[in-house]
Amino acid sequence: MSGNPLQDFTLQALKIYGTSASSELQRRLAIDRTLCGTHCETCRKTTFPPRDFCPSCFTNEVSWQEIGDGATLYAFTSQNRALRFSHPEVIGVVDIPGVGLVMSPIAGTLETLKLGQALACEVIDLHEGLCAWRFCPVENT
Amino acid sequence: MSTNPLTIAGISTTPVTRDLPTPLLDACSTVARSAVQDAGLAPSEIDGLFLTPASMSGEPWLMYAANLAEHLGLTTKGLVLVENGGATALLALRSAMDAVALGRCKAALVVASDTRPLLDTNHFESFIRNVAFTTAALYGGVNAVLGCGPPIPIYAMSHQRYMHEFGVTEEEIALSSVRMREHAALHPMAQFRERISVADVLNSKPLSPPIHLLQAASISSGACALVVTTPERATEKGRPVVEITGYGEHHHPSHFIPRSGSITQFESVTEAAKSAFAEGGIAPKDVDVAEVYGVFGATELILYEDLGFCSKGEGAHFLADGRSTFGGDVVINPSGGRLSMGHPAGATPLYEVAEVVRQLWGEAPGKQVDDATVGLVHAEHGMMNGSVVMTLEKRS
Repeated sequence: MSGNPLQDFTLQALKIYGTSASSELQRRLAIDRTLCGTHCETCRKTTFPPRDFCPSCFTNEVSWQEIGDGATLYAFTSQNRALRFSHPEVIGVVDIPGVGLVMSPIAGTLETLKLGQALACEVIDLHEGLCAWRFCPVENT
Repeated sequence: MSTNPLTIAGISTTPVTRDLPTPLLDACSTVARSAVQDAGLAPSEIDGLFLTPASMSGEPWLMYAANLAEHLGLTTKGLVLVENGGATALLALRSAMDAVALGRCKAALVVASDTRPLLDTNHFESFIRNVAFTTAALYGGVNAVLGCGPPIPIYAMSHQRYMHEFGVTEEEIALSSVRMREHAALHPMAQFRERISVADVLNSKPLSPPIHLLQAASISSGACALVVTTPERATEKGRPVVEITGYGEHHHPSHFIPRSGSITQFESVTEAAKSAFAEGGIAPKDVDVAEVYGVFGATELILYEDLGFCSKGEGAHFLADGRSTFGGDVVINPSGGRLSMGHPAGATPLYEVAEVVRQLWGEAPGKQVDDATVGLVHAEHGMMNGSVVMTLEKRS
């Protein structure tokens, strides 16, 4: 136990509601500092959230692939009361070519962000042993 | 395999309220017994009990189905508890329909209920544990780390894209809240009945821009029960028989934000509606009264379009022109809908069925839709990741 209830309870919850792939995603975020999906060697589709199989053809022949290049801002908002962000921080959906729509925190403000703008991915540390990803407008990175 | 025709023979609902005035088991027991009485059946004639979890938002209840069956004293040939988000109650009804249609049960009782979550905000660790576990359960082990609260932001982004893609204004979307409140003002069971204006909506507290407080369904409490049986068992009260004529269900392989597809047009709604209309042998223009699962202002309009009541992008004009209210093409959400009736999510779809059936019986608790003959009910889970659509028709 770290003494930080949010960290401890989130890690406990992820043991119940997570998967082996979500654990591996966390490892890659923490160590490699990359956001990854899984790529099917058979049907060539890339999936996020990652899985240890392909949800299109059910093969186990998947490999980890870094994603995020070419992302654009598809939608964004904020939330008055949320667990890890609150107004004016922004949560959004990014459109990643070859992957599709992915939820993500967005760096920026509701007033300055624009639909369709180019974004780049960065990894953020939430607590020890727990990371997330965030997309930032390209001109700010 | 031939199947039996189906009808709703009895209904009972509590008013939708912030909290239930009685313990949950008392509320469920009361509506269950009232619905059986309303159907003109004896308790011994009920041979199926189909349930939602006692509360989707509140405390978990281990072996609730057995608990309620024991409490009611019912012997059954089917005792089933169903859960799938906002569609839960309609899927419990579907299980009951299947049992009666196949002859496995002769008369099935469906009971749905929900209560607000009682978060222990006085004890920090207990509160954080509850929120962390709920977040992980709701969004899964990958997206849980983003720390989103209730899924209001997800609907807010649909609202934003809807305005962007179809050139709809904030004022036009706000009118959907005003219209739902006009309907609720006439309905004695609705939670929110004070009339509001577009300015009231847009001046209410922002929750997740562009969604304001008066554009979001409240988290409410309520209990509702129905009896499903075959028409010959339902004719003794002298009511017209309301037959379930069509059913459609479609689930996109996504949960909240779909990796592929749109967040302003929902495949689950269009496909479930297509199936239900085909099975019912009707078209959207034939529907007189509908209850749809519009939990946010823009969602209400998107549903009008995706269910086929108007063209894509025309929902705001359809509403503003009075085509979705009394005297229009179809009366949608005469109960006040999710925005004003109140939203006990686990029970909401059964309240929708109750409203439509009572309208078709000519027994509307609020304003009666003139000459209502054909009805439609829609429910969904996630953000329209899955939908259920049912059509009903009054038989002469």
